[in-house]
Amino acid sequence: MYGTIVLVICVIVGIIVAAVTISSVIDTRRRYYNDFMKRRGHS
Amino acid sequence: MSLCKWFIYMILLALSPVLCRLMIAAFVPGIRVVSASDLMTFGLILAITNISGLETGTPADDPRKSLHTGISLLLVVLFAAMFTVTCFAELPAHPVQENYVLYGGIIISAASVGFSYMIWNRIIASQTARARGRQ
Repeated sequence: MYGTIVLVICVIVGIIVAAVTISSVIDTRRRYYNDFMKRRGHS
Repeated sequence: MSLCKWFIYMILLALSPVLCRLMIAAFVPGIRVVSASDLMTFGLILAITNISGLETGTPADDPRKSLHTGISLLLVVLFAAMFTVTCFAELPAHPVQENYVLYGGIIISAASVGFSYMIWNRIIASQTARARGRQ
């Protein structure tokens, strides 16, 4: 029973961490790489 | 710090308990190949290094700095709690299914690797942008 609780908590936290990771990767590309391309005159 | 250095200094260094166990398990029969406590150590090292990198490498005006620090702290607490759970598995009659804890450890460690990669990629990108801004 305790193992199931641990597994469920891990899956929930894993989904939260994955969601934050994906949204932050998109934000990083928008914030830093777009800025970098603008400075180089590519956009 | 490049992403190659991130892999060598963090992933391989944090994986050293897992790699040592793999090496011993290859030569000594009866030793398990993967242990949940080794995965917890791996995740703890990654999460603590993330906090250190966020404090020193991220610009103060980054709006996601607090979110990333909070998630890293959540991971530290979770890995420490799961390490405690693995200690209960040493009791003769314990109520914890070790396989489930191991599967949970694998899931959360994989998520931690992706999270750590994202954080260090962001730190490197922000440092590069700042350096180019100075030129």
